[in-house]
Amino acid sequence: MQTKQKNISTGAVFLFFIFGLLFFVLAGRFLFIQVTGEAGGTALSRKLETKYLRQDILEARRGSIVDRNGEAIAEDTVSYKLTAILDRSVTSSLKNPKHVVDPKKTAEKLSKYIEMDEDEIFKLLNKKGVFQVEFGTAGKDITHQTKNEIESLKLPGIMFQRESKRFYPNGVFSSHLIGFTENKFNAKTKQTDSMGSMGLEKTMEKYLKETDGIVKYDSDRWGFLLPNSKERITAPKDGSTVSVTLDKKIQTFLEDSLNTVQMKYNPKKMIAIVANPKTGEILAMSQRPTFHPKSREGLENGWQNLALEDSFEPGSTMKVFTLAASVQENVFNPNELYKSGTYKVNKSGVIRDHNGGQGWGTISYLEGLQRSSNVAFAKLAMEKLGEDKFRNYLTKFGFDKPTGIDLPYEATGKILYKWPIEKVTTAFGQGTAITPIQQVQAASAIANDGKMMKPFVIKEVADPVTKKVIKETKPTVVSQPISAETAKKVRDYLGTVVTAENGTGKRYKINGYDVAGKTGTAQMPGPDGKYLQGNQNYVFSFLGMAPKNDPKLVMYVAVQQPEVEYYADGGIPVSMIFNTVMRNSLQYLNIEPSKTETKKAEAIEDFTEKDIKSSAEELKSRGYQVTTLGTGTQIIDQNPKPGTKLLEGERIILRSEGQLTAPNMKGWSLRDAMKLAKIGSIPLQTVGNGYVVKQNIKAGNKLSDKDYLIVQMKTPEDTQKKEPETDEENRGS
Amino acid sequence: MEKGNIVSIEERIPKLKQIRKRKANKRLIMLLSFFFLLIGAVVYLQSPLSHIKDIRIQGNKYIAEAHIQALSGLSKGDNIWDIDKEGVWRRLKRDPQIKSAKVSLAFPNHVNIQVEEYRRIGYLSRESRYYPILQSGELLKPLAKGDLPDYAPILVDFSKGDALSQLVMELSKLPPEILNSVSEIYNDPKKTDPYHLVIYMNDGFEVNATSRSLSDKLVHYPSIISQLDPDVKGVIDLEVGSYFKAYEKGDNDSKKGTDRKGNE
Repeated sequence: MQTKQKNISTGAVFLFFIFGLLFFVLAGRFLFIQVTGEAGGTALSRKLETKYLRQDILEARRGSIVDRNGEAIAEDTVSYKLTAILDRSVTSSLKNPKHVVDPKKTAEKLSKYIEMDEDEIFKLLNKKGVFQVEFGTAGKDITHQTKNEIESLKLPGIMFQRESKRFYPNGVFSSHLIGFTENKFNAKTKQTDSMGSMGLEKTMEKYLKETDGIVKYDSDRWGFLLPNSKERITAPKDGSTVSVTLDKKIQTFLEDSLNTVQMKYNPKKMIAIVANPKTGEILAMSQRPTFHPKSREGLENGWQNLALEDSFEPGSTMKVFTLAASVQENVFNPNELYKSGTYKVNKSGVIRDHNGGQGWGTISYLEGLQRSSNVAFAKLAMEKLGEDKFRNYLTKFGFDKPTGIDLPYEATGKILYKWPIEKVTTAFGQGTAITPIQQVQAASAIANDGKMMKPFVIKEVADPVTKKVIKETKPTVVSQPISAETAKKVRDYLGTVVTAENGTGKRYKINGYDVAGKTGTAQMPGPDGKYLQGNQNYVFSFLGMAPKNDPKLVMYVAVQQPEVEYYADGGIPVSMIFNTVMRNSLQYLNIEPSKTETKKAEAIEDFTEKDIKSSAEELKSRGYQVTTLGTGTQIIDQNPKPGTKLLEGERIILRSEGQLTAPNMKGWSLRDAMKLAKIGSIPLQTVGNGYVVKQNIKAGNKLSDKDYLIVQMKTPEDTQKKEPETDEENRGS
Repeated sequence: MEKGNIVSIEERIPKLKQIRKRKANKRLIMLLSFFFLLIGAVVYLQSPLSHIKDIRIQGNKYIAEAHIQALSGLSKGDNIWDIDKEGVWRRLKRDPQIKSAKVSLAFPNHVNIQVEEYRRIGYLSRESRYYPILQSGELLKPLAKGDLPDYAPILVDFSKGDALSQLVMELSKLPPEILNSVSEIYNDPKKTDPYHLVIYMNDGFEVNATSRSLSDKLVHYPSIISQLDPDVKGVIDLEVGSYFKAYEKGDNDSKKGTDRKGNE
């Protein structure tokens, strides 16, 4: 018993020590971890973070590109991607299913919103063994509205993923200037980002680029936010807004007219620039071929922004600057005579006027300008100005170096001025190659009273939220090659190119505005260096400004190799672009302030039983045209009926009792004639369309419901052509 | 005080009698009035007061009253309590020109039908017949021979299809006073614009436009013509922007021929 007890107590002591030791080891470990925060050599706190700390990306938006009035040209928009969850395991309670429960019904409903057949959707939704399915292109780019509509159907398992994409709301819109973005993998953020690949999207990347934000938070193992855990947010930073000098309206006019010409004449190339000469702002710039910024269709035809990356022989538009130099040096006497036709440069070199060297006999220098005589300008440059002085002016007008416009890859022109023949041809725009933007810059000196303005396209860069301006372009005067007085004289001379009987610029006349400008027809060197032959193988161009006295716009248009029948018709496509864009833009710029005046519209009251004479007087004084029928004094019917809303100047017919007689209906519209026939119950027969020129029942003769009233109608265009004839006929009636 | 609460039996008996009498009276009056009411109802239902004396139709502009009345299925003499308002609307709805209709009673025996019609926004002219076109886009049967269109412009050279439906959509957006100033609209498709239109206005101006933007542009017609000289007629071009080109007089037409070509 004793020994037994002893054995037990030694066992107890032994156990006591073992457990005591164990206790101390554990307690020591606890203390160690508590104090050092390390276990197994790694910091526990970091391990904890990796286990429970989640981080999400807060997507920022790439900066927008907007026009001068803040209208969007390129912006990030949000779209949604449709996915359907098929896996049953996500549904925890059957009352609130989170996966697609009824594929048939879901397919039927979805097929109304996305471009996919019900059957196809049904097949997708029945796929076995997948967690979720997507719907290819049909399920991408879903708008916010469609997303809301689908969500309102409350289809279980149908989910949306937010995506942002670059959107160009205007389609083809100065595409080579604006450029486009592409999705590229960013190694730093390990995400695909849209990055500018061309044009302003590329060169302004620094400003447009957004910085995504990050949110970090503690979560449970399912990713839910733990209560009381701290969120750590780095706010996303949207890209800056870049405002360009383009005007959406003017650019649209330009794109539309370029499309029209493209369709009709299919030229190889077209370039057009509209600028404000007072500041150098580019208001519109486009070219053909071009491309669509979203699909990039057409990009294979060239990446170059031709307005500044392409230098070519300008042709006669160059004469503008030779003229300006001569006027500035007081050597241009418009009335002085010279012999046109040919000009001998030296023993071997002869230059000819463009009508095969025939010329127009002895004419004045002004007529030489109007007829675009090469001889006149060769004489001005070589004999009157002298070759060195002329060369000096080429530098002053900025043809030696790029304009420095805020766009990349600007080409440098090439002035050929070594041999005598080159010096002469440069005076009228051959041999020497310059860019369109150089011509626009130089023309700004003539339009802006001598001050040459540096062209620019970026108006300002601003923060999208605070609107704080980060960068702003101020107009810069490059130089003043000519005086204000010279500029005005040159514009007047150039005005005669458009207005004169023999002016080459006659087709650039715009109703209501005085245009000053110069046409150009440049030959094109072929692959062998020789000029190409043929009616079409020219670059037809026009450099113009309007209104002449105080030009608001300068515009350059060049059309290369349009499909025209005759050489002389080559200017038609150019004028189609210049005239439409110039006129619409001037009107658009002008029309804004005066919008108040308008014709009134009233509802016509009931005149029945009123006195016909006084009613007619009253309606006339309100601006309506009134025709009365019948011999009575009291009105029995009226057309239009009471309550009809009618614009001032419209015709109202009042009828009283008694015999009806025909009014003189010359110039009446079809509807007015019908108003008459209806109120008098007169059978009416109309021949032709437009406006009444002839009536079978002459004015003053009796009308009845038995005899047909036959009116002959003609369109205004036909009427104008046969004016004298119809006049006579009417006098006879 | 105490005395007032105690009513002696002698006083109570006559009061009870009175109460019983009053109750009997009440019952009699009720029965009698119920009886007279019944008689009154029968008399009323038999009298012309309960039958439709006249049907007033309001709000119609294009459809004749008689036609609406016939469609409604109501006629004079019908019992005024027997009108199925829903049924009337169902029957009226059969006419595609009717947009909505409301039937209401005006005591003692009048019926008001307030109809709203779809606006006629044009008449399609084909082989000298005129087919009215409603705001809803519906094309009606042609007008009877000899009957002339009223209230809306004439559309010429259109066939059913995109060009027409696009135009109808745009026209229905125009305010009535502008629609009233349009005389004829010609379909004039061009290679560059299949929706090109030539419009002759009542006041003698010609308008060239495209039905893609017609309503946006023609809305400004009153302000455009107010800036023009009414004696110089010409073409108002609303295709891109808006500008006016006067017709050239016959005598210098030939001389300026080439010029005009360039302006086109």
